Amino acid sequence: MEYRPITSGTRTLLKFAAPVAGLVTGATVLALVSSVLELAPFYFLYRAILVVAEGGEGAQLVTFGILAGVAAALQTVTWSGAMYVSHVAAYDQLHELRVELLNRLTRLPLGEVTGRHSGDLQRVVVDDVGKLELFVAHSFVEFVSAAVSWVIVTTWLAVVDYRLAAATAVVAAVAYAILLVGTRKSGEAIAETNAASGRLSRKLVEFLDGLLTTAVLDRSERPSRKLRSAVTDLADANARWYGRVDPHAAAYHVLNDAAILLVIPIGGVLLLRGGVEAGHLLLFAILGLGYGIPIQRLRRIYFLANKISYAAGVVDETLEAEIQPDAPGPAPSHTSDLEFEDVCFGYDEREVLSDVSFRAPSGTLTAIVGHTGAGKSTLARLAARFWDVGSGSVRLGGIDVRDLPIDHLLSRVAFVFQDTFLFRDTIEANLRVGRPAATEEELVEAARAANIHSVISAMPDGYQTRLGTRGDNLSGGEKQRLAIARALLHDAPLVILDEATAFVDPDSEAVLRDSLHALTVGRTVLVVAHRLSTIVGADQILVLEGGRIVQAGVHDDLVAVEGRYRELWTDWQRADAVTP
Amino acid sequence: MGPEHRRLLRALALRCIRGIAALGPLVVVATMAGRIVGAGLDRAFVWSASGVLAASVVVAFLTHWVSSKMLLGVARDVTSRVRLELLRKVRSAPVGEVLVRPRGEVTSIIDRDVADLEDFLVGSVGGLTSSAMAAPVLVGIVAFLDPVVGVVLLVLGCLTVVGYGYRLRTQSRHIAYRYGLRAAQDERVVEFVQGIEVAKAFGLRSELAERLDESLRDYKTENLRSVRTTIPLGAGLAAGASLVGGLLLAVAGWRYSGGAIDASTTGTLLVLIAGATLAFIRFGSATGSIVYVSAAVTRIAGLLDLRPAPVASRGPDPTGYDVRFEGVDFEYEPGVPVLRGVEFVAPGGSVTAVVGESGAGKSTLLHLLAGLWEPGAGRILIGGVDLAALGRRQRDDLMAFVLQDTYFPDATFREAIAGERGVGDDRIVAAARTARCWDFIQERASGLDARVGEGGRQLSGGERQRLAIARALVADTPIVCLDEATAALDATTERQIREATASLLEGRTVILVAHRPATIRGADSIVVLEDGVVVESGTHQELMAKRGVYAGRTQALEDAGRRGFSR
Repeated sequence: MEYRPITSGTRTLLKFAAPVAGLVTGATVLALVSSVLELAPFYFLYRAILVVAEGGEGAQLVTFGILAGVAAALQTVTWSGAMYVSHVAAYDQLHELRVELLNRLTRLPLGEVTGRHSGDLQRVVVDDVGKLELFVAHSFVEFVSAAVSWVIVTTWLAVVDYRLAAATAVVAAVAYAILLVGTRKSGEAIAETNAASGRLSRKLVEFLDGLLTTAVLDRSERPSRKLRSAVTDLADANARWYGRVDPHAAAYHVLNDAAILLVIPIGGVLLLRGGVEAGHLLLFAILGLGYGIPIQRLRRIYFLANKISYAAGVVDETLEAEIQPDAPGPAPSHTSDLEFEDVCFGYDEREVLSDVSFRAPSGTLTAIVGHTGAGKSTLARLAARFWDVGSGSVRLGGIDVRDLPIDHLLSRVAFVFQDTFLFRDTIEANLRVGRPAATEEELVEAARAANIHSVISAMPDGYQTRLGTRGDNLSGGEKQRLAIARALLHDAPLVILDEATAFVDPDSEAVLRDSLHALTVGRTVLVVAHRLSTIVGADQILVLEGGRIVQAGVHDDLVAVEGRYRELWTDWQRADAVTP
Repeated sequence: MGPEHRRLLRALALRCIRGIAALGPLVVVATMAGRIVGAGLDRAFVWSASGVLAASVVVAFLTHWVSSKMLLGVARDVTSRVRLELLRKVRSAPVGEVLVRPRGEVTSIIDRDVADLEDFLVGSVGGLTSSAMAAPVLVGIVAFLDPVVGVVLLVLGCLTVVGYGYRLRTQSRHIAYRYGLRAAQDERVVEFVQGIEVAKAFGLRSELAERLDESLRDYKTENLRSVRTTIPLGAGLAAGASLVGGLLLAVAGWRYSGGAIDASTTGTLLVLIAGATLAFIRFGSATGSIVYVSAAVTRIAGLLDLRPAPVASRGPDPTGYDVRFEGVDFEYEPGVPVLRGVEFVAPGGSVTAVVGESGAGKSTLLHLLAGLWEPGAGRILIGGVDLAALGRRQRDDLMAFVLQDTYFPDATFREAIAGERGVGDDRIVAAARTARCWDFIQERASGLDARVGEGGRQLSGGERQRLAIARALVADTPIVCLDEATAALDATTERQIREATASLLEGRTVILVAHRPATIRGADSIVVLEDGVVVESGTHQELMAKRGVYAGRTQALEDAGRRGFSR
């Protein structure tokens, strides 16, 4: 993302804060009261000194002293009240935003999500949204209260003595101008620091993902050159970023502490010439000590403004990403005939499928074979609208899948994926993914049919066993059988098996084959197949090459003719002649 | 801190000066108040006051700016050094010890905790030092003017410190707890992204979001709880300090009316008391940043404590290339043995296949050979030398590994094949050809300079495997450990891998975790593993004749192969 001017970021931020506008307004009013109160103790201090100057009574002095203390206490209490309210608003709103982000993500075409680096999404949902806390809880409230109280206080001072008020205000104005210049400069460098920090998190995720393999393959102690440079690049970029704003921050800070910088010489000269009363000069001198406090807070807001505004932009972009259009329900009843007509599809400008047409009638088994990368998995996923076709149409029971409500469509399809993903939860919870309302008996029945019940029962905690961080208390084959049980529970008329025989030892393959049989009986099945021996009996075999169907038919017919299938079959027999 | 220590101290010394310079306006106003109450202002006072004011602004600005620059340098160097050191520790620690930690935790420490340290160095430590300086100086001046008020002010200061100390403790409890919840939230987000395909397939999109929502809600609740405790606490402390400050003003008034101090001193004192009270409160709230950074530093230190895996510098040279397991036991978790008394020999220059059901401990054997974990008992000998006695370089020169699912860092094909070995392109191309990966490398416009993508994302499973084989070919070690791929591949790819593998096996000692019947039959000897125990070993013919575990399973497999999806 390019540099966004703060103004556009602020518009986005205001949009994010809108749902909690009531709370934010309340907090701002409290903060405003507090900012004005900031000067009250100084005023009472002034009055106390006047008492001394006029030779007044000690009792009066005590009264003003206590009044100053009470005013200061009130000031902190109102300020804390403002912060309390604004933080409640911020955490509420942040939570809502995160939930909304996740909901959006599930409604994007899948490729939009899986194509992104998981580290990047984590940054958006956790870190970037987190930065908005600063806006909702601090920036808005602090800015508005500081600005308004500044106007009120300065007006009051101008009424008392416009010359001294001008001397006070001009220092603040210069400081503010410096702040604006610094903010502008930091904005120009923000894209660089953000890019560097994104790169580091991605490299870190890679580093840990590959730790096991790299430990085996490359035992040098040093992390890779790229990771090392990601680390130093980020530190350098941050240092440059801070370096740009540092002189401005220092000047702003120092000038606001010294609001009386011009009041003393100007007021002093006026006093010597008899142009101002000593009491007035004293008032301005003492109030000058507190004058800069509320605007001093703007320093942090402004220098962080670019970071916040950038984060807001990233969050907004993710929220605005185009979701997959959903059809309104209810769905008409339909069969589970699956039909592809002239389907073309590509991602990243790369054509993956071209003019794919076939029909898989209800209750039949269609196998898709072909080389790795031929587009088999993509084809299978199009049936469930993981993506939408570029042109042509996919129909289920004669209805274009885009005209079916997505939730309905997904309830008609059961998937067994190539890599079995299991949630870090109990086995039971993982099974229930297939059917949330399943009874105990149904769970066990599905597990039995998938030949995984005995494995689960042998575990000390049975169905309540928690799967480890990497699902590592189950072997590859066991995980797949669990996925099959999950799909069985889903009980959908269309079953899609994607390379379901992957990662399994031949030892457990026999068991797996039985489980799969249970899943496919009586259903429309689309299977992405590699072990050709398993699909000899398929009702239809589609041979995919370079995204096109080059052959279709039943096994016996396909092997009888010269062609791609016969080559695959010969290779297969040569590679894995199981029978001696 | 090391080399940055001195620079940090110098910067902080400047910040002390800055803290004192910042008192300029207060001292000028205090003196002026005394003058106005007493003798009145004259020309000399006005000019000297203006001069002091201007000087204090200039000094404060310069010291602030210069010390910021220095702190920035320190922060940059510390941040880089700590991150690199953490990475080195993680890299050299036994992989097992890193992998048992939740993954998000390690990245979060290296990424965010170090960033917190950086923020503290750049943004907080300077202000903290300045404000820590201001309060004692003011107490000193006040005590000089009136010892009684000075003592009372000191007591107030101590009370404030105690009060804010209590707040720090409360905050750190919340922060520790909140950190745990944030880590949980991170993990859930990663799980969410990985699980989105499954969730989508089962129409559980909202459920998936809800699963995450639970941990998001926990995080929010804890944040709110922390706000509910710490904000009122901070307000109470500041309000208390303010009220006591007001009382102090009253004490000064009482001293004045008692005649203990004159009018002019009283005027000055009143201003100074107000300034000191503010300084205490400011310092107190500035300490809040300490809590965050100390929590971060504690976690960083915890990760830095990782001890490197013990590796001998250089052991005796092996006398041959046979691999011998002697009574090897191993368990990942105490009480759950994975390997028990594993004993076998892989003779030099021959292929030994290790077979067994999934979960029997086959891959663990390879991991032990790779030194990822140490055997719990027993030893592994290579050419008669204990593996533990071999140096890292020796091991790399002896053994190459081809794992099931090789993860490639995002590198070019050249780097992926050659690693950090300085090997000429001709050898890389030759290996790529032999391993049957030259075709798909050549298809890419930039050839060997094309990138493989994070984890090898641009590659299919079969391509990754062949690339790993090419890598082993370039390493050209006498011993090769291979975890045969079980991934589903099309028949042609499978044949290519078969051929690539065959070229790698020639003339080497090979330990092969085998899955394909053809590979198993082709091995010179077969070791059958069951539940972490070697139950049979011998050649295919011997084992078939024995009619034991191996024979039984081979039979079952043949039956399965015939079956397929019958309708």
